[in-house]
Amino acid sequence: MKKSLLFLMCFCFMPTLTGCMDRVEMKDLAIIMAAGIDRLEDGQIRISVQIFIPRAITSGETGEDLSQGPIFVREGIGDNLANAVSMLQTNVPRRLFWGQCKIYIFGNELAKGGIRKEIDYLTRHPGPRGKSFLYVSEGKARGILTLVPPLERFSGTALRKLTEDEYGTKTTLKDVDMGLMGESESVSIPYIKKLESKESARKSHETIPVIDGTAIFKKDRMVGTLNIKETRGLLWLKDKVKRSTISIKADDADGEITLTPTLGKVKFIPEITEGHWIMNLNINIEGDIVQNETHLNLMNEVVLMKVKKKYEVALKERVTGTVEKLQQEYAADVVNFARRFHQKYPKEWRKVEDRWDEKFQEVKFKINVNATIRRPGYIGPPAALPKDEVIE
Amino acid sequence: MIRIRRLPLKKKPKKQKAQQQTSSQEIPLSKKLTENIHLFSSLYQDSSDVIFRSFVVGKIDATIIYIEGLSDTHKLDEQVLDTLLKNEFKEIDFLISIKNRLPISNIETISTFSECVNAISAGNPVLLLDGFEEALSLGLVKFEKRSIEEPQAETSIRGPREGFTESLGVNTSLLRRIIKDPALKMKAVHVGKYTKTKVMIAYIEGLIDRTLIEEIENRLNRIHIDGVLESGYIEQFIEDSPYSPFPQLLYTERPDVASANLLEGRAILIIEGTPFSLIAPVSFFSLFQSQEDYYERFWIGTFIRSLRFLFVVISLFLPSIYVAITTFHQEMVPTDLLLSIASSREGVPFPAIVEAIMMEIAFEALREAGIRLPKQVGSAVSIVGALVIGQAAVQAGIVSAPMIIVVSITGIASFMAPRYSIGLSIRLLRFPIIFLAGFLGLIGVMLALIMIIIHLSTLRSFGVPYLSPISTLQKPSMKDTLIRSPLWKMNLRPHLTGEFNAVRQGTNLKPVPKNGDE
Repeated sequence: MKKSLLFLMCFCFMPTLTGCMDRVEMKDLAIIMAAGIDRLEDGQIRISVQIFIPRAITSGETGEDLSQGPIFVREGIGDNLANAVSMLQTNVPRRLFWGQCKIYIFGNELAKGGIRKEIDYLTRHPGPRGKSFLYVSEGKARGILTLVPPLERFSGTALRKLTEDEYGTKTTLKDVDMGLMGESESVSIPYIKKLESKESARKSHETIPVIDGTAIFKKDRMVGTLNIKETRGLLWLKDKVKRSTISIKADDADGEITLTPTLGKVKFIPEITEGHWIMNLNINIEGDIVQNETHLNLMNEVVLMKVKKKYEVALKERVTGTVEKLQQEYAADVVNFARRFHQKYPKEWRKVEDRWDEKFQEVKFKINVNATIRRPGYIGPPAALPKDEVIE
Repeated sequence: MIRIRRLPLKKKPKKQKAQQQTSSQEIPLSKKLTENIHLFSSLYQDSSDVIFRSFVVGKIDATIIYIEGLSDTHKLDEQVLDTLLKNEFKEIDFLISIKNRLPISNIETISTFSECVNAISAGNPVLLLDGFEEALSLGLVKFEKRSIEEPQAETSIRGPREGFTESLGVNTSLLRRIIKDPALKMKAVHVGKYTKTKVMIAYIEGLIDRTLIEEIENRLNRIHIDGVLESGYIEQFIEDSPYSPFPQLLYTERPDVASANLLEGRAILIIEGTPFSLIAPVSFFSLFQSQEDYYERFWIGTFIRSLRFLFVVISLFLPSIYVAITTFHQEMVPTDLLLSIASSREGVPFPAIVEAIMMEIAFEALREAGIRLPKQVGSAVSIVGALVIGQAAVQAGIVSAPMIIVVSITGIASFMAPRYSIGLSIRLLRFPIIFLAGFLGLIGVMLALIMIIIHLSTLRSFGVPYLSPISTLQKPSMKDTLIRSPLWKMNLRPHLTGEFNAVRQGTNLKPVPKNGDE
C-alpha cells in the first residue's frame, strides 16, 4: 500500500520535472532545411537559413504557390558563427530546429579563408547532424538558398537529391571533421553553382544549384577546385561512381563508343622500394555500352576486346590526370594515400609525417585498370545500318 | 500541513466468521412424514413456486416436492404418479420395490434434509414416504435453455460452429462428444452460498499434473461468496496476481478450444450458468493463439500469428511513439514526413499529448457505447463517431489528421488480439504509456516497455511462468509460440508444471507419398 502510494506520488510529480522542458511542440519549431555560411567583406560571419513554412502545404486541395515555395530565408550576422546564429534566433519567432537540416553551404570566400571555426561550431553544437552534407558555393552561399527550384520544394532538397545520386563527391560534416584531423589533413567538398536557366518563361532565380566540380581543402583552406571531368576521376578513386559515361575512340573506325561504368572497385597497394614511395592503384571496373557511333559489330569478341583495351587506357588517363593535378598543383592528398602508407609502413610514415605535403608530391603511382564489358546493350550490331556496312 | 494517516503497524487478525453454512439442514430425515413436511414447508415458506403434492401409495402417505418449471411435470404425472397410484407394492422392501418400478433412469436415495434441498433446487422432484428415513430424488430435471449456437465472441471461418451454452450439462456433453476416452474426468465443486453454482473441473487423467488439480480445487474451496454469476467471479478469486492488468486465465466459448487445451494437459473450469469456461494455466503467448492457427495450414498460421504480435506492439506503443517523436525527437522522422506532420499540426490548438489522450478516450467511448447500446442504435453511434472523429474534428482544426490515422490504426490493431481479455489489458496500458511518452519522450516509452516486461516475467499462472516458453526457455514448445510449426512436427506436449506426459504423437508423421503404400 505504502509502496504503491509512493509510486503514485512519483508519477504525479513527473510532469514538474525540469527534464520535461525538452518538450517542444512542432508548431513552436522553425524547421531549418538548409543553411549557408558566408564571410562578409568586413570579416563578419553571416548565416542564412531556409526555414520551412508549414502553412504553405497545409492542404493538398489548394496546391502550393510555386513562385514562392514553402520556405523563406532569414539571416543573422555576428563576429563568429555562434553569435550569428544567436542573432538569427532573435529574428525568428520560433525555436530554430537544426535536426532536419542536411545541407550546409560555405561561401567561396569563407572557404578560402578557412572553415575550421565554423566546423567546430557545427560539430560541437548538439543540433546539427553529423551526416549532413557540406558544399562550397561559387560566390555567396546565400545566393544558392534563395533559388526556387521548379521540381523540388526547396533548393536544399534538389541539392541533397543530386548528392545522394552521387553526381559529385558526397562529403558529410563528419567526413570533414575526420579528414582534417586525419593523416592527410585534406578533404574534398562538392563545389556547387547556380544552374543558368535557359527557359525564357522562368525568372532567373527559378533554377537549382548543381554540382560543378570539387573544392579541394588543404588544412582548412580551400586551395582550388577540380572540374567535372577531374571530379569523375576522383570519384573512381573513391569507388563512388554511379552515373557517368566515358567515350573512347576506336582505332579503325569513325565515331566513338560510349560506356557507362556500373561497378567499380579500387584497391590501393602502397609500396616502398629502395626509398621510392609507390602507390599501386588497381581499378576493377565493369561497364555497359550505351552508344556505338562506329560501324563495328560489338557482338564480335575480337572487337569487344579491343574496345575493352581502349576503355582501360581511357580510364587510366582520366585517373592519372586527377591524381597528377592533386599531387602537383594542390599538393592535397584528398584520396588519403597518407592513411594507407601509415597503415602498411608505420615506421617509414613516422619519418615523413611532418613533411607529408612534400612527400606526397614525390609519391609515384602506378595505375592498373582491369575493365570488363558486361553488356553490349540490347542490340548486337550497330543500329539502323545495312548489314554490308557493318565491320566485323 | 497534510498529515498522512499511518497504517496500523499490526494488523489485527480478523476472526474468520464461523461458516454460516446451513448446518441445521444436515440433520437426517425423520421417520414421520408430517415432521418432514413441516420442516420443508417452513424452509420453503413464501415460496409459491415450490409445490407439495401429497397422495397415498398403497396405505402409505407420500409427498412429492418439486419446483415449478425446473422439473418435467408431464413425466411426473404420467410416469411417477401413474405408476405409484395404480400399482400395488410389497410391504417388505417397499422403498426398493418403488424404486424398481418407477420408469425413470436416474433415481437416488437420499437421507438428509440438505440433500433433499439440493435435489429440489436442482430440479429433481423428491418423493417422501411416511415411515421411511430415506427419500427418493427423481431425475426429472427439465428447464428451458438456449439451444447450441455459434459462439458470438469467438467466431472463426473454419472450425466447428458449436458453442458452449449456459447449461452445464450441455457443456460437459459437448466436451465428452469430442473427447471420448474415459480419461476425461469432470470433478464437481459447488461455489456460492446462495447460488450453489456447480463448477466442473475437466481434465484428462494422465496428461495433467495431479498437483495442478489439487491446487485448483483448493483455490475453488477457498471461495466463500454469495453467488457466482459468471466465470469472471471465479477467475478473480483464483488468479495468482490480482493486481496485474494481464489476464492469468483464459476464457473460451468454444468446445474445440477447450478440448485442445485439455489435450495439452490443462484444466478447464466449466461453470454453470455461463457459456464461458476458464482455461488454466495459461501463458502470455497463448493469448495470441487462435484456434484457426491450427485449422489452417501452417504457413498461414505462422503468418497470421506474427502479424498479430506486430499489431499488438503497434496497438500498445504507436500513439505514445507518435507523441514522443513529435514532441521530443523531431530529428528522427524522415524530413518529408516531418514536413507533412508539421503542416497538418500547424493550426491545431492542443499539444500532441492532449490530442492523443483526447482521441484515444473518444475512441474508447465510441467502442464502449457501441457494445452497450441496443443494436439498432449502435450503428447510428458508429456513423456519428466516424463522422465526428474522422472528418469534422480535422476540418474544424481541433485535431490533426496524422493523429486520426494513428488512433484508427491503433484501434484496428487492438482488435487483432484473438482473445478479448488481452485486448482489454492493452487498451488499459496504452494510457499510462502515452503519459510517459508525453513527459519523458522515447525514454518514457522504453521505461514503460521495460516495466511491462519485468512485470510479465514476474507473473505466474497456476505456477506456470507467464512468459514461458520463452522466459524459462523450453525448446520443444517454441515450435508453437512465435511461429506455428506443421502439426506433424509438434511431437511433444508443452511442459507446464511438474510431471507431464511429454510425447504427443508418433515421429515420422510428415506426409510423404511413399508412406501411403504406393
